[in-house]
Amino acid sequence: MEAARIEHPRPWMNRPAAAYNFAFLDEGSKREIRRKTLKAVAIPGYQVPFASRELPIARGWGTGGLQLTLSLLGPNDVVKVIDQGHDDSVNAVSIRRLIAETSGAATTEDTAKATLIQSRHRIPEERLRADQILVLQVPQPEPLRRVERSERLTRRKHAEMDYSAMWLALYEGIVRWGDITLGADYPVMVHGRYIMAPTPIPRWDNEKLHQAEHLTLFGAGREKKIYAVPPYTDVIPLQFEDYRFRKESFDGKACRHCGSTDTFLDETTDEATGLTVYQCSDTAFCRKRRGEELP
Amino acid sequence: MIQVTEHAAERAVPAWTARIRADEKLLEVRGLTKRYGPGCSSCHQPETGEWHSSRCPRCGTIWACRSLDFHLYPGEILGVVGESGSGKSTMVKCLYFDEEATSGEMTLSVCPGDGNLLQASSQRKRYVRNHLMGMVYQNPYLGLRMNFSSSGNVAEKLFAASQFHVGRVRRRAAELLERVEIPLARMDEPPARFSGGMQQRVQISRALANDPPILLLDEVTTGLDLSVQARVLDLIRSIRRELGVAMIVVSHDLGVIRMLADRTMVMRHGAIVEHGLTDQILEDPQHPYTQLLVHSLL
Amino acid sequence: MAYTAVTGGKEAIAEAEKLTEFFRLKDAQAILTVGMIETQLRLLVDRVMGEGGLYAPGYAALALKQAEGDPAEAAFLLRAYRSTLPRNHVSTVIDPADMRVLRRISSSFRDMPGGQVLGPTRDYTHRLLKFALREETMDDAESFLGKYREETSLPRERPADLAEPATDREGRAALPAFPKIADLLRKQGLMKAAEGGRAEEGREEEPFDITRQKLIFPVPRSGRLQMLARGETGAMTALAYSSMRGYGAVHPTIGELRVGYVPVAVPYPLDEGGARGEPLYIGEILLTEVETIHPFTQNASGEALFVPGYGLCFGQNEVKAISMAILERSLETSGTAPAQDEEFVLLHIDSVESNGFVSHLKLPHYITFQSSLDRIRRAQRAAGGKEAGEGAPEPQTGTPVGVKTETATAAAGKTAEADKEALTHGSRAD
Repeated sequence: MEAARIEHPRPWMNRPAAAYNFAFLDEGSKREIRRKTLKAVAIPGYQVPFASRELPIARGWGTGGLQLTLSLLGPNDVVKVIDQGHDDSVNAVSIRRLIAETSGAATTEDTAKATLIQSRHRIPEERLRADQILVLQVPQPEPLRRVERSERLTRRKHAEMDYSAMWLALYEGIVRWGDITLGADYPVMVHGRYIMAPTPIPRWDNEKLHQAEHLTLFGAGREKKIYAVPPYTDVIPLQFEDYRFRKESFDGKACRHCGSTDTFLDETTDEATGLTVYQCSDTAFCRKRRGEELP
Repeated sequence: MIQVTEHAAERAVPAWTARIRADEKLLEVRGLTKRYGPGCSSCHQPETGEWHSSRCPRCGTIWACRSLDFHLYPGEILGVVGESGSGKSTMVKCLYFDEEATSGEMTLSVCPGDGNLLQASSQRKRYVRNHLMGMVYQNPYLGLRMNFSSSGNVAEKLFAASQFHVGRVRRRAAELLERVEIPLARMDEPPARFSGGMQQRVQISRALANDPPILLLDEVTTGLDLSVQARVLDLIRSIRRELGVAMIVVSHDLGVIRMLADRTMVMRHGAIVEHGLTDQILEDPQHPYTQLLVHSLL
Repeated sequence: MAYTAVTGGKEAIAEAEKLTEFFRLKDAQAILTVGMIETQLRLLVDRVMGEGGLYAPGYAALALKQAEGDPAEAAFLLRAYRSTLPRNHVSTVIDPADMRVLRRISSSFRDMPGGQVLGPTRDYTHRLLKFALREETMDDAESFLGKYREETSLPRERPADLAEPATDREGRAALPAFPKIADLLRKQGLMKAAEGGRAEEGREEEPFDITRQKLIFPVPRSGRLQMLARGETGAMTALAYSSMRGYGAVHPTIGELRVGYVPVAVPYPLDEGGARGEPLYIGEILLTEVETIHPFTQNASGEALFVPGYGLCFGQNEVKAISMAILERSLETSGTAPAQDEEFVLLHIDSVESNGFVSHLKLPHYITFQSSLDRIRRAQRAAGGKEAGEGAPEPQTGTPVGVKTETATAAAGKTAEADKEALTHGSRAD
C-alpha cells in the first residue's frame, strides 16, 4: 500500500475532487444496506431486495459485494479482496484500491489478519473465525433461475417452499449423464427452509458454509438482493439419497509450489516443459504454507 | 406419507384411504362463484334465474361460475357437460386453484380440519394440489414440461412429496408410465416427441403420481382421433376400477360423458341447469337445454 | 489448456490506464473542448443525459470526452456521479403544457390549435454525406448565423442557454399557444382520463422512486415510466419495433410529439409546513414528450375511449420518446410477445446494467470452468464405463430400463449451454 501524504486527518478527504463520504456511500445508503443485511441474517438464505446504489465500478463486476463491504467498513477494519482465490487478480486489485482510497482502511493479503474479506468465486482455505465477515459477490442470486425465468414466480416458489422444479433439474442430469451435472454455484438448502445460490464457488467450498463460526454475506448489486448465512447454520447441498453431492476431485494431484493435496487447485501449463501442472487457487494460503510473510 | 417399497405389488395404500368412508362425500362444493369484473347492482344476485349469457349487459362483468353446488363421492365419476363458455373449465380450474374463486366453499373429507379450502393458505393449497388432487389439462403443454423427460415429469410430483431417492422415484415413474401404456424404452424421452394421445397419457400418469383420491380431467380427449380417444377413455375407466380414484370429467362431448360418468351435471352460462344419474339425463332430459344437447347427439 | 493465474495485477492496471490515455490523445490535432461537445454534438449529449438519468449537459459532455465518445460509458459515468449527489430538493410537478415549444407535430391531426411546427429536425433531409463540412471554419459558421439571425429577426447576442428565445419572458403572449392534443381529446370525452396528476385534482399519489426502492413485480405505473425514461435508446427502439412488426399488439398514431423547454420549480424552501407559498422557478430543461393514441377500448361503463401511451425523456431524443410510449402501452396489454412481458422489458433496457453484465464475462471465470471440466471428465469416464454396466439405476420392474446411452464423444459434444436451454424452456407445468 502506498504511503499517503496526509494533510487532512481523514486521508480520503485529500482527494482533489473531495466530496466523497467515508467509504464512498452516503450514510443514509449505508444504513439502509445494513438494515437489509440484518433482515437477511434474521432469515438465513432468504433473498432480501434492496435499492442497490450505482458505484464507479460496473454492474456485474462486484457492486453488490462492494456495497456490503462499504456499509460495514469502519476505520479499524482490515480488508482482504480476492478473485478466483487470488489477491493479485486485476479485478481484486481494482476493488481493493477503491475501498482503500475512499476509506483509508488497511488492506491485507493474509486471511488471518483480515476482519472483512470480499471474495469472488472462492472461500479462503483458512478456517474463518467468529470475528471475521466473509462477503461474496453474487452474479445470479436466484438458484431457481435455471428452471424459472420469471422473478414473480420464483418469489412465490420460495414463499411456498415449492422446489420440485429444482430437484427435477438435478434428476434430469442424472438421467442423461449418470450423475448430477451441476458444477460451481451448486444449490444448497439453508436452515432447512430456503434453497440458496452460494455464488459460483467450487463445490469444494460448499462445506465451508456449513456450521461455520463466521458470518457469510452475499451481495447481488445488479439483481439488487442481499442474503446471508449466519454462524452455526446448516447449509446442505441438494442431493438424493442414492446420488450424493460430490466435491471436485484432485486425486493424484498436488500443488507444485507448496505440495498441498487438500486445497482447491488451479490447472495451468508449465511454460518450460509444456506439462499440465497444478497450483493452489488460494495464492495467499499457498505462500503462507511456504513460510512467506504476507503484506 | 406414501412409502415406496421394493415391489410394486406390495406398495402400501395411501394414508387417506383410512380416512375415507364410501358413504361420505369426498368433495363438497357450495356456492362456488367466479366473476371477472367489478359487478353491479343489476347483476349482484347471480344465483337466480336463467340468463342469456354469462355477461351482465349493464356492466360487462362476466360471471363464469354462478353459485355452483355439487359433491363427489369416493370412487365415483362426475361428468360435467356444457358448451364453450358454460363455465365448466373455469369451475375445475377453481377447484385446482389455478384460478382464484370469487366466493364459495370447498371441503374435502380427507382433510376435515382445513375447513374451506378455497380460503386456505397458499402452502396448504399447494399440499392439496400435490397430494390430494391430480389435474389433466386439455392442452398437454399446460400440464407437462415438454422438454424434460417423461419420467422427469412424473418424478417432479414425487419430489413435491419429498421423495428424494432416485432409484425409487424411477421405479414408481416406470410403474405409472407402464400403467398408461407408455413403452418403458421411451420413459426418458421428452413428451414433446410424443403423439397427442401419448402426451395425455403421460399427463394422467403424472396426475396419479402421489395416489390422489381425486382426479380432475378437463376435456382430455378433445382434439384426439377417435381411436386414440377410445384408448384414453378405456384407460381412465380401468384406472377407476383398479385404484378407486374419484373423478370429475369435463367435456362438451356427451358421448364421452356417457362412457365415463356415473352422474352428470349440465352447465350453461355459468349455472348448473340439470343434474342427476347419467342414464336418466340421457334418456329423459328435463331442461330444454339438456334436451337440445341430447337430441344433438349423433 | 492453460489456466494461468493472473499476477502483477496492480502494475497491469496502471499500464492499462496510461495506455488508454495515450490512445485518447495520440492523434489529436487540436484538443476537443467540453464546450465543443456540448454545443456541436448536442443530440449525443441529450442521449447520454437521458440514459444516465441526470440533466446536466456540461457533465454529459465531459463524460463523453472522458469516454472517447462511447455513450454507454458516458452514461455510466453520469449515473455513478449522480449517485454521489445529495438530494436537496424535489421539484413540483412539471407541466409540459407550459413548454416553450421548439418543435411540435401530430400524425393524427392535419390541423390543430398551434399548428404543425417542424422545428429543428432531420426527418425530411436527404441523407447525403456533406463533404463540405470537412472544411468548415468558424468564419463560415458566423457568416451563416449572422444571415440567419437577420432573416428571422433573432437577437444578435447569444444568450446563456442554447435555444434562441424569440421574445423574453414577459413577451410570451406573442408566441402561439400549443394546447395539448390529449387535453382536447379528453375535453371531448374521447380519451381516457389521466390517472393521478392534473385530471384528478386533489388525489396526488407519491410516485415510486426506482433509485430508492427495489422494483417488485408487478410494478406501479410510475415505476415503469421511470425505468423507461432512463432506458437505453437502442434497446427500447428494438423492442418497440418488435411490437409494431407483429410481436405484439401495438401500432398507434402519434397524437402529439413536442420538443422544447419546460420550466422547473421547487417549493419555497423556507416554508414552515402548511401554507405553501409560490414555488421558486429554478430554470428550464429541454424535454421530448410524445403522446400516442391507441385503438379504443371499452371501459367499465361500456363507453368507447382512446387509450393513450406516454413517453418523456431528457433533451431531444424523439425515437426514444416514441418507443417509450409504445412500450408503455404494450406493457398494459397481455400476451406472449416479449414487449408485453413487464419483467423482460423493464429489466433489460437499462444501459448501465446490461452493459455491465455482458461485459462482466471478461472477468476471470476459471473456477466455474474448472468445475465444469471436472463434471465433463467424470461424465466421459462414466460413458466409457457404461458397457461394463455402470450408469443410472434400473428400476426393478422386471424390464431392464437403462438410461439413454451416448458415446463419450457425443457426451462431450453436448455443452452445458444446451442443457441450460432445455431447463429454462420447461413449460408452466405444476
